[in-house]
Amino acid sequence: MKDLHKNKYTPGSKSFESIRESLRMKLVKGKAAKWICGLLMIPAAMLITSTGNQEDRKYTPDPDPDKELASFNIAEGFEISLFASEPMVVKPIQMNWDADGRLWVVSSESYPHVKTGEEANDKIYVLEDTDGDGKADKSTIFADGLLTPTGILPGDGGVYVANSTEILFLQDTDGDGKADKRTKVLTGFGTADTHHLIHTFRWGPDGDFYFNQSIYIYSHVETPAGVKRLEGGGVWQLKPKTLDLSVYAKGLVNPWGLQFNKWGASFLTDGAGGEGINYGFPGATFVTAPGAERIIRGLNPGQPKHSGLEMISGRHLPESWEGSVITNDFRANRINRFMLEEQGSGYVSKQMEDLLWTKNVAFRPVDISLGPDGAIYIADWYNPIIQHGEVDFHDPRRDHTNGRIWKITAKNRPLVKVPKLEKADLNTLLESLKAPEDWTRLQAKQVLKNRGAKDVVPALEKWMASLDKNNKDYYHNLLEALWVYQSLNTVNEKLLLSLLNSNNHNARAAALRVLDAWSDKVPNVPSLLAKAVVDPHARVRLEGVIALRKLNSPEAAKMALAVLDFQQDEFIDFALWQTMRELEPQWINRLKQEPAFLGDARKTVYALKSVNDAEAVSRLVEFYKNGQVPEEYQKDVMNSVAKGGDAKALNVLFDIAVNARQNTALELSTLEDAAKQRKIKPDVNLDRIAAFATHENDAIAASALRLMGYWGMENQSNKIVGLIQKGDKNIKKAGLNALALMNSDASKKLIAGMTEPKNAPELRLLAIGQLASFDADAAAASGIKLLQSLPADTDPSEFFQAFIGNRKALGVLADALKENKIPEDIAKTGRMIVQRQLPWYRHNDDDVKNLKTALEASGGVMPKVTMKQDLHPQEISDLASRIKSTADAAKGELVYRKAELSCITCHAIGGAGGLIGPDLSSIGTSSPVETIIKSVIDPTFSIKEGYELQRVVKKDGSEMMGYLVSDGISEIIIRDVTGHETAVAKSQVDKIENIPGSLMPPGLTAGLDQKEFIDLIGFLSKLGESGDFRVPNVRFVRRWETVGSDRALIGKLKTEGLGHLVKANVKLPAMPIYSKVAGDLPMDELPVIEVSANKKYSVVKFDIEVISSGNVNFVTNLPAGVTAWAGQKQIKTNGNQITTELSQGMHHVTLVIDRAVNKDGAISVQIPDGAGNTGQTRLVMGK
Amino acid sequence: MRKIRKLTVPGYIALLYFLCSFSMAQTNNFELKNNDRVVFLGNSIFENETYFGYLELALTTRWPDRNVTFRNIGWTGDNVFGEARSYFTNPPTSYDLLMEQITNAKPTVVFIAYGGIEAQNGEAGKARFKDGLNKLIDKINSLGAQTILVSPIPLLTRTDSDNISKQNTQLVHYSAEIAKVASERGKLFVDILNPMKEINERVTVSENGIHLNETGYYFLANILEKGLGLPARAAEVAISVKNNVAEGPVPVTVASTGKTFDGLSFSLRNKMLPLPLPEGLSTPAENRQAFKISGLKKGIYSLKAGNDIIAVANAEDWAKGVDITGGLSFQKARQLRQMILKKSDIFFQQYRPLNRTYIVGFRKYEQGRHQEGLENMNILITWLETQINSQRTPETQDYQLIQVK
Repeated sequence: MKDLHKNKYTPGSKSFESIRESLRMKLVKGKAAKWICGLLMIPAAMLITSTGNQEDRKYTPDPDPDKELASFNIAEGFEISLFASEPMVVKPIQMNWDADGRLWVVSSESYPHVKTGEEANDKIYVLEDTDGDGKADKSTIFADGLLTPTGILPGDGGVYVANSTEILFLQDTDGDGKADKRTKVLTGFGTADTHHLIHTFRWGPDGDFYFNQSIYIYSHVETPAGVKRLEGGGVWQLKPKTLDLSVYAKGLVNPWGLQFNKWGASFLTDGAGGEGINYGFPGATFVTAPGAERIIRGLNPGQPKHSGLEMISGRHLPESWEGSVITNDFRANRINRFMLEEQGSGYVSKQMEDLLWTKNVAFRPVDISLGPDGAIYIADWYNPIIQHGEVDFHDPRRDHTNGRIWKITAKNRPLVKVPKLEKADLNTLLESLKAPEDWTRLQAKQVLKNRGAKDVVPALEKWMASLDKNNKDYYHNLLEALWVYQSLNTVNEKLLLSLLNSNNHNARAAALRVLDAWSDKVPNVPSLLAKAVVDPHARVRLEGVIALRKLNSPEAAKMALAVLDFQQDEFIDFALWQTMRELEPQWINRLKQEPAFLGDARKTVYALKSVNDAEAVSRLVEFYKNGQVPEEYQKDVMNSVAKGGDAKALNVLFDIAVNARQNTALELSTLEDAAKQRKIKPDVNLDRIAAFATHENDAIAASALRLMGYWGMENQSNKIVGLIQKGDKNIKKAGLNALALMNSDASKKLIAGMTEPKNAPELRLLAIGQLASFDADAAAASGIKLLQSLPADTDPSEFFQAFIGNRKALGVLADALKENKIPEDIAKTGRMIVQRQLPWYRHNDDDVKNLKTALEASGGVMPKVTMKQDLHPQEISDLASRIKSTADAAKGELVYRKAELSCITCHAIGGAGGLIGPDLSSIGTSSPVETIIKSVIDPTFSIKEGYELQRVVKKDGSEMMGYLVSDGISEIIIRDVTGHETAVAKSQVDKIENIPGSLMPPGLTAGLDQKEFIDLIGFLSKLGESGDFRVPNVRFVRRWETVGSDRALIGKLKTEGLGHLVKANVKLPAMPIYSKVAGDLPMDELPVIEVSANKKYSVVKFDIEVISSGNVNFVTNLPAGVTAWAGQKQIKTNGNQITTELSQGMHHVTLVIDRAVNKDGAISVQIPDGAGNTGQTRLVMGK
Repeated sequence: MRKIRKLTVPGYIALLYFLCSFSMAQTNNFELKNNDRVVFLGNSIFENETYFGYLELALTTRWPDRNVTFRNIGWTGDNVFGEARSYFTNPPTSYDLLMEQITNAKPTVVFIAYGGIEAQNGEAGKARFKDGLNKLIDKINSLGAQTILVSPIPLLTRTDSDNISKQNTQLVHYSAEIAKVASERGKLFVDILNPMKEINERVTVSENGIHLNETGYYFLANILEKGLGLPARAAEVAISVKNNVAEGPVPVTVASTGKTFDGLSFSLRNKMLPLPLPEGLSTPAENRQAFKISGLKKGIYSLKAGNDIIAVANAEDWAKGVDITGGLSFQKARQLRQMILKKSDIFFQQYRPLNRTYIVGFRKYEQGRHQEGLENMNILITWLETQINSQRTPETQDYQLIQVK
């Protein structure tokens, strides 16, 4: 389609000249002028665009490419050279090679935002090395006048370009090297964030065109087959010829990397995620996908954020690199490598040594690609600033003029001769399908696609016939042929069948995708798929389960469930769950008529627990009642009941709880969830719950008490009061909670009664906390009285927390405190709680200010501000330079770890730590020091994607504030200020609203002295840089619990020995603790349990999830003095090696360190990948 | 000695094309008034107009004496509930945003072209569509603006398949539904589906089968004008020459030396600026603007508009009528179109800005200062609109017919 592009005008037309002239006369007042596409000129004076801050120009390093080159550190055996730099190429964003080996680079100088009055004039560069010296010597601007283009893909006789809201196809029809024909291929892609625009254009091995978009992009694309929508991140799949467009995978925050391996399996990286390499397949759904009830995880949790992705292939790079992928840690200015290994239906990804690293903060590797010569090419966007929001769009430190393409080669290994494929004869092209280089095969297929079926098919037949059946690559060669057929849109059933029946599982899995694409063109698809889901290899079964969706029949669901007869893993489980959901309309009715239609109880339960349907839940509880729910499904089944069970289903569950008494805790908490989330309760003989209120298991008793509250069982009130009086703190809380939930006059009166002075102070404090939720005045009055007479060692925190958690109560308390003084120490505690626990956006509210004033009047002043918080720009700038020259980052790390700053409570490093704020692993390499200072003193200064604060208003009028962790079809999950996650049924949600601001309270660092502050920021600004402040590539245990010492414990250890520590149902005084960035846990931060003079211990515990059973090997840094248990079983240690066989599931590992042997230093535990580890494991991260 | 004879035609006005005979009798008396604000609301049918500008050009040139401004808030993939305007956060919901965009456009006249996307839902979606359409009309009524309902376009592929004919049947049904709503609510309805189907059979109006190309928008402008009951743009100026005396609708001067005929000259002012043709297209009958000069002696004659030769033909062809596609009016119309396109582009960047998240969205506390930049676009838009207003009036053009052979 030849169209008139919006930006295309006929220059030189007289009237435009005159318009321009007249504008010049009217508007320009001696200022530098900017042109609007040769038509209009807007004077700078007329359109004042904000220019942002001017500080710290020093942050910008010397842009000389030689200086940058000299700053690189590269892995042993490799060398790096400059392939091209400005002015031959500037601001590269994506690059791809054409069939003749020319490098196409899309560039944006206007990124991130065009100034008003200016016209973007972004360009496409074509780079060539015409003299073969390994350096580009020719650069052609193929097209200009583009608006923030972010993706490029040569092919089909032209080049596809992402141009903000549209995909363009540009062609050079007259051979002058410049585009002269512009076609809009698709339009309607979202543009709400320029760093999320459609990007990462790729040819798939199947000849389809794949591309990605990111979280803020909401796209609605009109295609001949109807409108296609993708809201949020994901991967699109397009057949350019027919404009057949579909969503291949969904989610990820900023999936700025996509690549296929030689067998067609796909992998993704996320520029704002934290799980390294992600394994993608059709329908794969990752974090942040709107409407997703379930997601799959990345292969490297706790890893940095990545841009770009390339598979290693070919003859140039070392053989040992085969099977690895390379990707850019663009924040930390380095290039990572991961080794992929097949495991089950997916892959394991193990991080290897970095390929490249530098301290030059402007090195921003945004794309990575293997060239036709087999070398590694890196697009270096060259910019000290990468963020969007926190640094002004037009900040002068943003670089708009530089850019480099680097080339990495392996030393002493020859490069591959660059094949010229565009004009190659058919035979050469077909032989190229055998090339070891992925690039060559991909390009050969592209060229073959464009030659057309008529010419290619006969030659292809001949070529296939000539292949040596005994060659190890025979099936791969055939697969390439199959892909050629697929891209030619020509069905070859015989070939497809021979691959489906081959003895190579990779070939079978890949052929299933082709079968899926041809499912309406080949016969016997159901029987082929029935065979696939019982294939000996898990990945073939996975593809079979996915392909069955298209059959759209009840039988397809039944067939898919056959996969349950084999070992499960998370990918198969996800795919099967999704298949069951997609096919639900097909099988659900059939199951009603034929209860055994889907097979045995296990399969039927699996199907039923996959869907959200009241009818399905009522069947599930029947299965549960009959003991037919396999243990591994019990939690899921209970979750289904909580989310979707009606009163009838809950009656059955309640009966089971009363009669069977096996899984009581789980069953009661399910009943609680149903009541809490949906206000649904059983309706038969509820009194039976009372018997559980005195259960010996605290959790069951507390749950029963709360249920009495949810169910409004006022006839039990007296019993509850009795239990409150004599029970421990948990029981007291649960009982009071129950009375509050009843929400009747009588129950309120009972609570009020317990606030009276005749009761013990502990109970009064708790009761006042409850009272505050419905009678704030009375609560405040009696609360203040209580505080005035509180025994010295009583902690008043819960009192204040109860009041500040409720807007009305907070105001009432403030007023009451104005009239009445409370003891100074208590007021100080209260003031600190207000400061620390109210999120940022509340601190300027009048009621909060009043409360602060009132507390201060009682002497509750904040510790003296030793570190000024309201810094003006010059002070920030001065501080920044002092930090750069004098900060001691090692000391800063200790400040960071101080409990009173609560950094660790809210932020993780390397995945371990709080999840309330973003992971800080590479904050130092992604943010200028000034930005870090500003973010610490004013937490709202910049908010990371995914940390947008949400206000959820429920239909009953109650509100919640926090981050949206998941937004599913039937429920949302909100993480609140304490890190606690709550599920809310969507049916209960009235609205969800984004509100500006951060949960991080301001002034956290006010109590530091300036040196401490400098060290802290110094530490933060080093995070991600090479050395001790970069999360290492090896997997260290980072999230621990340690056990405090108390008299009772010492007593038990004396009598029972260390075995007591791992006994079931033993409550230990445990507290969370986290490794330092480098992975070690300082010994002096661990409590010492002194059993006797020569028996001193420290205890640390950690959790590990075993994904597939096998041997797991832990390596500590301590050669002696460590005793280890997995669960209750002691593990033999062999020096610093601890090896044990673990089954699938979660395991708790306990290590007892003999402090007589290991007095000081630190402990670290790592789990080396490979090296005797046959089990696949994942360390539990987070808080 | 040169003898000049002048023949004066009654009604001495520098006028104007005679209206063609096929201008239809219409019941709709659609017109745009001074200071009207026209808003285009719908899916890609209107969004893509911003690449071509023909609809806006047609309505701008139609009333050269009136100051009319336009806002195009068409959105690819959109439906009557504004679903394509969705975004990461809400509120505002995509529907709120749709309402806000309609209000902010300050319309007096709104063309609504929805239904093309909704028709993909088939019969099942019709009731909901109708409901949504009525709500839009309520909204527009509440703003005191006039609504004109426009049908969807058909699928424009020429190949036939079950799926295509199924889709086309649904589009017909939805079009009928829109017509029904129009008559229930007393609104104008313009059917573009049937006329476009007809044109698609003889001209390539789409490259991908679903969106109109430049030619498509050229024809769509014609269809819309016709559907609004506006007289066709086609016109013919007939001049007859006899014995060195010329007769026509305007004064025509014959240059002659004695008995020889040297040429004609006359001045004309178009009633309105024409729609310049897309490249490679010949003027369709309904837009044909022709000079028919009869009575010329055998030979080849060229027509000059000002200093430019805009047509060359032999006497026979001149007698049949020669298409006029050049001259001041066409030049002006082309410039006008470029300015319309530029203005639409700037408005597009203003009302759905790149980086919306950081400027007006929920992270505006980060880059909200750039709202100023968006507001400043009003300066550009207003300036361009002033230019458009001063460029939309036709000017008198001097023509000279000279015998070249």
